[in-house]
Amino acid sequence: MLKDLNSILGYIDRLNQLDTSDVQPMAQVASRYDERSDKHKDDLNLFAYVMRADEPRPSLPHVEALRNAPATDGAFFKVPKVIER
Amino acid sequence: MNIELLTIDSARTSVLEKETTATALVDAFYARIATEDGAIGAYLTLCKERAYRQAARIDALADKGDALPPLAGVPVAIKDVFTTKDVRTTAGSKILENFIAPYDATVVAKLEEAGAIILGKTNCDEFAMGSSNENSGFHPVRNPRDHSRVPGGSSGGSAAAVAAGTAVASLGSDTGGSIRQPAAFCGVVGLMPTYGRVSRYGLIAFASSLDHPGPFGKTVKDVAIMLQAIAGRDPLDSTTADVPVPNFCGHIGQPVDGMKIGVPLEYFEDGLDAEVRAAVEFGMQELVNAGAEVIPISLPHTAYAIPTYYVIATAEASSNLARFDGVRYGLRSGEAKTLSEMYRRTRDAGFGAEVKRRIMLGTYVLSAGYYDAYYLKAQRVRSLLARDFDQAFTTVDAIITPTTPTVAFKLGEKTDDPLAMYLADIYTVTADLAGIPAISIPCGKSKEGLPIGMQILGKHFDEASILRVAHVAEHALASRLV
Repeated sequence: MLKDLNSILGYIDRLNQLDTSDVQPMAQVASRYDERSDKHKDDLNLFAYVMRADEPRPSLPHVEALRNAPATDGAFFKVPKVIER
Repeated sequence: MNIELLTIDSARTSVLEKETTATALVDAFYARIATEDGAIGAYLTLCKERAYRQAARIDALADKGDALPPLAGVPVAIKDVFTTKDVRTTAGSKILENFIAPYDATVVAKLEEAGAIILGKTNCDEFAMGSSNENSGFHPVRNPRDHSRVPGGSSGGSAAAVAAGTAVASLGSDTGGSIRQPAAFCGVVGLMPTYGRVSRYGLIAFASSLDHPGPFGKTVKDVAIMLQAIAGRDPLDSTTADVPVPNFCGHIGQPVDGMKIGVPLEYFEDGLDAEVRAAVEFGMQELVNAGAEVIPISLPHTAYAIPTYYVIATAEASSNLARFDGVRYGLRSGEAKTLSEMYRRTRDAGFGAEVKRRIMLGTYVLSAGYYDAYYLKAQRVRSLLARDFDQAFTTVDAIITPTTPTVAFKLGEKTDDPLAMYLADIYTVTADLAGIPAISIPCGKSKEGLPIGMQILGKHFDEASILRVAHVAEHALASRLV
């Protein structure tokens, strides 16, 4: 595993052959549409397409949400002790 | 009826014209799966109850003489990374071995609305991480054209089911080539739509900015019909684009004369198998004969695509897979005294070696002190790769390349060397990073009779042009594929 990871990281190092000092990072495909259409460059506008009305919608019923859980008490997910003394 | 030869139109027409019923088709496909799939392993789960319920609904429509929807009675298979309500959904992982999904992925619901019958869930590399299907947590898939070879991956089961005639069409997902590469290896058509064209709601996430749901079919027209059924804005996936969905089938049969098709020199350099090169060049010549103009172009950053991909995809995966913690769903392993011990035991038992490798790599490239050097650097190079395409598409309408550097390799051939496995996606990853649509169609066979795939890439949201080019090439090349 260690050998594989080192060999992959070695391969990734070739990215440093490129000078990217004046290149914007691309986190999302959609940010490219805006870059090309010369829309506003501020962050809000780049991601304006994701905005929607904040309206409540039906969500998964409680019993359904618990159905796949490995351990529940019927109302909550059960987990081992989180805080130790 | 030779059900292994059915296309979407011929299956639907046979139900429409009462040559058969949807129920009889489902019977016939399950019988074929029972005899053929044991040697191939394309299916992980069959959902017979759901399939027969849908078949009865379609037969009732046909009996009433009602108009039938576009996929009425068409038996399809779904890659097991899409959730299916009340049906086991594993993502090819032991960690989800007993997970019963409580809701349908949008693409699954849309296919059923369009009349398709879901036969079952297909095998894949665990969490879609792999290029050979050997990373399945359950069993590998064998290539129906040669059982000693891999079907490709990660959507190997979906490609193999169509190639083996155990489904008429299927759904896969493409993050670095996972639809197109298995389509090429199995000799079927595979389409990766534009990022944002098809909803990811209910697709178990591998790398959210790269995951593309898309169809497999025997023909270009079949993938166009499938795309029509699944495309469009979905309020449940905020990255789906609010752009018009054209009538894709309307572009099937349109001529290509006058179209400009780019051929990137970087895709024909060292490492490309001579037989693959010859078959793709033959395909290009057929397009020239049909009136297209082929123009040499350059995509200068191509050599940086694989390293960029393995930073971004693993970073996103390490974040996405954190949800598998043994608390809300999936495996919980052993008796643990503390929460962190429970997480550790669960993930150690539930994830396979490649998934662990990618989570570790992704966590490393995102860690304090390395974030700028790896993750941010890769995001900047991703911009350069996307710009390469933007630049090319100012002069050409589509781009043609080989889909893969070689034909299907043998099982076990690359399992000891992850980097060699990653390079199987060298011609496909760049389209995922840029978010542009791309299709792989069969364009010939090697001397050993193994399928060779040709890839056609297009502009964002211009699936219509690549379908048009693919259809012309498909018909020109038909005689080479029998």
